[in-house]
Amino acid sequence: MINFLLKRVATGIVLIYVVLTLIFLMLHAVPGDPAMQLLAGDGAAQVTPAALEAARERLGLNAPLPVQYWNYLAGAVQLDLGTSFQDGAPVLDLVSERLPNTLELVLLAVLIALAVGIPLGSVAARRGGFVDSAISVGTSIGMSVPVYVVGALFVLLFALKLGWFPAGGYEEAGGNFVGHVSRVVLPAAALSFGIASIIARMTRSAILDNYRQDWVRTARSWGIGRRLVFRKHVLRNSLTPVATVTALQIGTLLGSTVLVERIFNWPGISALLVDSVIERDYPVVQGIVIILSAIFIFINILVDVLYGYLDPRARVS
Amino acid sequence: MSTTIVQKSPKKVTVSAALKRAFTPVRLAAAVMVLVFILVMILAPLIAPADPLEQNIAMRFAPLGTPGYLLGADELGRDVLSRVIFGIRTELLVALSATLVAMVIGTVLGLVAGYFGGIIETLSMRGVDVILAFPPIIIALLATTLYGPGPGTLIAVMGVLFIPAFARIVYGQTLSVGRAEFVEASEVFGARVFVRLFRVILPNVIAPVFVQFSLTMATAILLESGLSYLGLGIVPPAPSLGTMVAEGQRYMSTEPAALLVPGTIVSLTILGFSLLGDALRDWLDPRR
Amino acid sequence: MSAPSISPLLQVRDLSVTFDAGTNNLQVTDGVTFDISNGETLALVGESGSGKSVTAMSILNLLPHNARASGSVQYKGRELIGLAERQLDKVRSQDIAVIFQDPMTALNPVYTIGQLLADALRSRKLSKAHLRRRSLELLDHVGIPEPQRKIDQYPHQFSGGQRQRAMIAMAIASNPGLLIADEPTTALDVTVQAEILDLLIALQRENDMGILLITHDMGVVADVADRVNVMRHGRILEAADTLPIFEAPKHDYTRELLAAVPKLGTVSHPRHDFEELPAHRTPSLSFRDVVVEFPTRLRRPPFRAVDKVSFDVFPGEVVGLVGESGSGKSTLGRVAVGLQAIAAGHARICGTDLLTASRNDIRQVRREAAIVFQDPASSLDPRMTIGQSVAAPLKWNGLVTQRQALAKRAHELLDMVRIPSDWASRYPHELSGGQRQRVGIARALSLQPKVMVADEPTSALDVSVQAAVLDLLRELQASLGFSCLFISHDLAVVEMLSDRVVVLRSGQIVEQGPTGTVLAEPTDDYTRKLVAAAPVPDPIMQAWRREQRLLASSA
Repeated sequence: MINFLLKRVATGIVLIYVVLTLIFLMLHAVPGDPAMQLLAGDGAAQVTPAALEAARERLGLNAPLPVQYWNYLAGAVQLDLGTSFQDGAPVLDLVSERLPNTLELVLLAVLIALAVGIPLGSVAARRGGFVDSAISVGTSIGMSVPVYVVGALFVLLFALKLGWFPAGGYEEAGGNFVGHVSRVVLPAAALSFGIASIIARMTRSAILDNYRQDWVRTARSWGIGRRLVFRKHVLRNSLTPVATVTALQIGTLLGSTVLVERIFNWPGISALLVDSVIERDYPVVQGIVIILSAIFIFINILVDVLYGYLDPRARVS
Repeated sequence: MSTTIVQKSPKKVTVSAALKRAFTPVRLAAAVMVLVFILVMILAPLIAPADPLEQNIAMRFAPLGTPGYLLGADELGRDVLSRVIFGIRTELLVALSATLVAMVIGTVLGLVAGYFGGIIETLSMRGVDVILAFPPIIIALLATTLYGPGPGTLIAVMGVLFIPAFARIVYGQTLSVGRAEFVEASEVFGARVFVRLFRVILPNVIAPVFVQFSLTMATAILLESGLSYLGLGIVPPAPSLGTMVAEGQRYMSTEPAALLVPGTIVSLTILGFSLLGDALRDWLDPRR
Repeated sequence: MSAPSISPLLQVRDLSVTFDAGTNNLQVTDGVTFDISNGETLALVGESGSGKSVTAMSILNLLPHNARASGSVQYKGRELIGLAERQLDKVRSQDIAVIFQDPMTALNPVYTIGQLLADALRSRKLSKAHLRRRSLELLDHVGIPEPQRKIDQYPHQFSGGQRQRAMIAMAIASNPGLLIADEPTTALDVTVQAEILDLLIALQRENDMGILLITHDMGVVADVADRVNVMRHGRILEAADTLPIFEAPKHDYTRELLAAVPKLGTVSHPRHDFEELPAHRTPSLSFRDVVVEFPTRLRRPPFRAVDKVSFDVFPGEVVGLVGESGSGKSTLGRVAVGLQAIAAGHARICGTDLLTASRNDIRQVRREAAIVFQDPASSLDPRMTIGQSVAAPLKWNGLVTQRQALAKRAHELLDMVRIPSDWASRYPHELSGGQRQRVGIARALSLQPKVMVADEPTSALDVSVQAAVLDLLRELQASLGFSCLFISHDLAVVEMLSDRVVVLRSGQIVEQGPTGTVLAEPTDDYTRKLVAAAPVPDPIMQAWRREQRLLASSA
């Protein structure tokens, strides 16, 4: 088990290194002068030579390529992600200030999705018939309505029309707890909409799949009762694929915060990312991409460990 | 016990029966919808009633059903129906191109990795793992910052991002099919590598690729419209459904249709492709 | 074991099972009637599709949800058909237990053996300590070594035989009055099979337990059954005590079935006189100190699947390669057609050394060597018609390219294996297992090979089909004169076909020689054990063999 863990962590570190390198290469694959492209986009005329030179200096673009690469990696290892073009603040400070807000949103969304998706999928699989069809159509819709449409509809319905929740914004949990909770519920629910549907479908198909397994018949032959057969020999075995699919969806979920934080004015890292893309603040964009990828890789390691716990056969290899 | 039942039941399930079971009424409707969307994509310039960019401030927020403005007009008085038609065209063209790129690369990669194993397998499948290490929309945002927004960037980024979806499926299938005795038999009986890969294995692993194609189309539209919603995908004023939702959202408290019309259409395109994918899976996968 | 038949343990009357398959209902069994008494073993025998397993599973309603059983099943006078699930659970947990065919898939992989036993013992409501003690007792009782350690292992960490023992422990946990054993030894090697059957009989004697044994294997029936019911197409055709069934079968089908079973020790002459084969002829297949290794995990020595094996197959000769699973026999077959690289030694096909051969040489030599695989379901490309499959080798080797010539050749080849040539446009899934295997043989003949490797060609088939395929293979070999490496785990089948036999164990040859000598008077201990463990479809002989075996093991 320890070996397995070390191996996974080592793979994760290699993966983060490769990700860093790819991001570096993406910057240098920009046609022409990266600094020019970053400052001006297509309208090159408005850029003063002084500003261009400043940007090149900031990005370290004047050094030879291997030196740039080395400095970049060394910076990343020391968690020095550069400074913002906008106000010169260290990117790490900007990120660490806002990261907890995004993680709160994602965590809550995953919990809601699991709490809704697993029971929904179980009911669909066990009831069959009309209930199954209805849930199937429902989850199809849940997977298909884009998160920004869901978010906008939630604001329209629950905030503007019904007035149950504020339309957005943020309140410190320490200061006004009720205000904090009332502001996190809508964005988290919007975020969980799609993934809950995916979890429900996976749960349903895994349960149906496991019901067909020989060991279910064996357990039935021991006369331990229908409920126990379902809980211990069907549902328990279905958790493995559900965990896998949930983990895979966390990447999408992290991405969706980009849209949700904007709609609900939630001061997370993803809202900062979008603002920085619009402001062409490259160091901040790069820093956030690195941090979010690292988080995603870390979550996948956690899930692999969970997988080993859920399925003993995975532990050996 | 199961063998007994299988032996007894008629072996050959007729194609039409399997089709009927896979294409429930809802899914059939979805398939028709996808067909309509594809026709709209091809025929957009012919069927759009007006220029999607032409403004007529007098018709600002014309309601649904206004003569000449079947789906109403937006805040600048542009015909929403025409904008929707051209929006669908852009959306699908971008998604289709990206998905095709990903499918071709991913399928070949998975096939080669699964059959040859060894260093080829390690390199290609670890490469695929690396792509999966990026949250998709985030990497698209990075690319947009670097290379500027627009359909070209979108197709390139999504074309790469969706490779793993195809590569992993084909890889897994090839691993199991490649070990099947009929593939070994083809080797013993003299089939060359190219024949084994593309004539013997590929036809036996291609069904899930079609399924994945449909599902990936849905994901591509989702991603593309999301970026457009942020103003970082298809750049306004070019019509795109994502942009229309973003614009509609600003006026939604007084003009809900401005949000609901493009929101519904974009949801329907995604729903269509994902239901079609489900139907294809049930049809092509005999186990279900 | 004739028990007083006043009130049998289990009384089955007119049992019919119907599967609800959408629009049409499928009747799988029809009016099945039998009794089982305490301490008695009743065998339900039949080929696939006979409805024997469905009958057994319907007793405890362990059928899929779309199955309906009608008729009567009484256990100690209590009706089980139509009993509420909760009541039935009581019967399952206290009175009747089941062991299933494949213990790999029949045990939930996410629990330890101890946790599974706890489920099986649930109705006892034991304390934690008591539960563990009882579990250890049970594992010890069914002959699992080191129960203290094994109890906390997962099913995948057990060998096949140990898994089946563990499942038996779970079944007897409740001291059942009746044990239903559904093909309990089919997935196991013969030597392991013998041990499991011994265990079942010992357990039966202890508790005076009735056993309903479902099997397709007449040897197993002869070994352990008191009475036999022969089933076909969902009906019982013949029911009698074991001895009369074998000595004077009444029903035609029973007679056919018994005639189709190859019997070890009944082929008296080798087909060729081995001594007459000129020793100076070049062998068509020659192995010298062949070693095959498979890589294991990093920094561990590779696994040796074949270890310094040397033997020859001369032109026109059939050599039987015998061994249990893991003996390396299939690996050697793959070496013979160039599918498996060797680590050391020399493997020559018609004079070409595979170790030094170029890629092109191997292509050339493969025209001389063909293979028939074990599983006819997976050895034909499901997307090719059988005509295409059969003629494909000619196309792939560039020998025949014209479409019409290919079709003509396909017809000729199908003719040779007696498949109607107008079936050429059918797909493999439209054929039965035996027909598919004939197509596999036709394909192997397409390049007119000098050597044919037949890797367990009949072990996936029913006995009656197996007999026909073996006859065909023998005829073709005699008329076309190819040499054949015949791989099988079934000694009786090997005896039927082979001139010489090579016995493999864990990658090494333990004995080789003329078929009659090796199988009738084995000199090696392992060969002797193998011959002794193979059940013979003759109750009297089998009783004697069992006695000998038990004496040998107790000595």
